[in-house]
Amino acid sequence: MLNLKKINLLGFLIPAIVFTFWYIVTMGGMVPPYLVPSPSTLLLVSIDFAIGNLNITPYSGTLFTHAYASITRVLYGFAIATVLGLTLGFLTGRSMLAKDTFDPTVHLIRIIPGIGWLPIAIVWFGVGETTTLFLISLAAFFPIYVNAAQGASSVSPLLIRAGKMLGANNISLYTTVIIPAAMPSTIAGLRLGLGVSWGFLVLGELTGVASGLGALMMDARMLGHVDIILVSMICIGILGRVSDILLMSSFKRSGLLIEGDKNEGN
Amino acid sequence: MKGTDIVVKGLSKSYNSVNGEESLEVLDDIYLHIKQGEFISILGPSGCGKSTLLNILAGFESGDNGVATCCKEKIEGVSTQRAVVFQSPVLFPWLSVRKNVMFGLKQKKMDDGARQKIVDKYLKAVGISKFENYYPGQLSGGMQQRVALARVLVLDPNILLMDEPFAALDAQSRLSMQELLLNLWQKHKPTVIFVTHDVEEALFLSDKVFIMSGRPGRIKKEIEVTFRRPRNISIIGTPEFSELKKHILSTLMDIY
Ligand SMILES: Nc1ncnc2c1ncn2[C@@H]1O[C@H](COP(=O)(O)OP(=O)(O)OP(=O)(O)O)[C@@H](O)[C@H]1O
Ligand SMILES: [Mg+2]
Repeated sequence: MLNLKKINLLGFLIPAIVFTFWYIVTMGGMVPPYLVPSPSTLLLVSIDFAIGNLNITPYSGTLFTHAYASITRVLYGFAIATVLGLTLGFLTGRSMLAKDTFDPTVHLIRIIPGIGWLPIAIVWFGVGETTTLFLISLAAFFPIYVNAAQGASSVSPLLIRAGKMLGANNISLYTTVIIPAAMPSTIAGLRLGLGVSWGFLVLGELTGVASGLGALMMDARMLGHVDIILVSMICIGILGRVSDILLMSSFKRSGLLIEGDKNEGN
Repeated sequence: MKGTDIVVKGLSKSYNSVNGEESLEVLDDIYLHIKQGEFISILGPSGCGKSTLLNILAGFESGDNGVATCCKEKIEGVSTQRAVVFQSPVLFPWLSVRKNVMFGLKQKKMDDGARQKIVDKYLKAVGISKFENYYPGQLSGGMQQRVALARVLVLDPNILLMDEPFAALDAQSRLSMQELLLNLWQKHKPTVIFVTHDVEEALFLSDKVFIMSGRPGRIKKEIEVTFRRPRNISIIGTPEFSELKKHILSTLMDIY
């Protein structure tokens, strides 16, 4: 108990120091507000950004529109990556033929950094929506694919024997043994993929879409609203964390991830 | 099912050596005839191919030469009629103890109430009811092995292949599991093939003991055990028991 409290308090130590420092430098006017706004300004701007009660920025009350646009893009991009990544990953993980066919090409493409796809994506899909989706699904695909394949291929042959011996047929062997056994690694891949999705969302949106938190940051930069840039960054951070927690809790509820599993580590 | 005799004729098996040199001969010209409902044990030095033989009888692997038949049919592939208790527990770590035991029944079409009842019965029989909601990773090795036993017993198999199932248990629970196994065997009369390193355990449980030579494993000797059933531990003290034990030990000793 005591130990737990100590750890929790320690976690707040660095944020507290940073916050105090931030407060002092902005109060004393050591740093001009167009570079770093004071904590109180930021708080007011955030509230106004969310509910539009003060009208202190041009972005007043638009948080939910932008957040909604971004969340939708991440969901679509991540969904595409998940479907492709899991299917292909499990296929190559369980079949040598599929592995020899797909794996070399996938890894060849994987070497090209995700950001490196931006120019060609713009050429192909134009600036905006499709490019963003393309970048998200491309970047999230690789961690999902690699981890699913790794999980599927390293299912202990003894577990498969046990499943067969207890009467699992070819199909139920997949649903009752192979997929659950591959879960820890697969979930790790999905988490990484989801994290990457938020990153590439911002990249795609920076290139110019009408709404979305990334677009907002770019717009706010041009209008000199550093406070809105910071609030957008915080929003993306919170959304990323919340989506991760939702992903994990949905796995826990479905029973695919056992409580106290080694792979949990929040 | 009638006529579930297990017959093995001239069975041999080699593995490709790991160093890529000549292959490793594990089983050599094995002959076995195990009648339906018989309880037999296999004794032999470590590495002589006992687990390999069980794997072939289970249908996990196949021999190179010779045949292994069950119910007059060549053993090809796995069957729920031949249940296996592995040398290590091999439980499904993502399932609770209860769900592990339920696994085999879940593969069958049956009423869920009936399933639960059977599971309750065998959880109790192996003395693990209290831990039904634990996960395998939270159990001791001996407890895991009991779950592994309950997991196959619920299927009421015709043939039980057991690979040192009680090696990880303490003396008392080993004895209670042996008695449990004998009780079940007396009731349902499955054929049991029981691999062990414990000579007393083999004598206490079986109708017949097969002694294997060192690798490549061969059936070196077949010894009938005729103690009257039902048996209890008092037979372990008798002169006949000690005599037979000495005999088996000396056969095991000059194996090389
Ligand atoms: N899949 C495999 N590939 C290569 N060699 C194997 C394989 N399985 C078993 N062997 C070898 O076969 C021999 C017999 O193994 P096995 O597990 O059957 O022995 P065992 O009699 O069960 O021994 P123990 O009493 O220690 O369990 C060993 O030398 C082992 O190295
Ligand atoms: Mg063995």
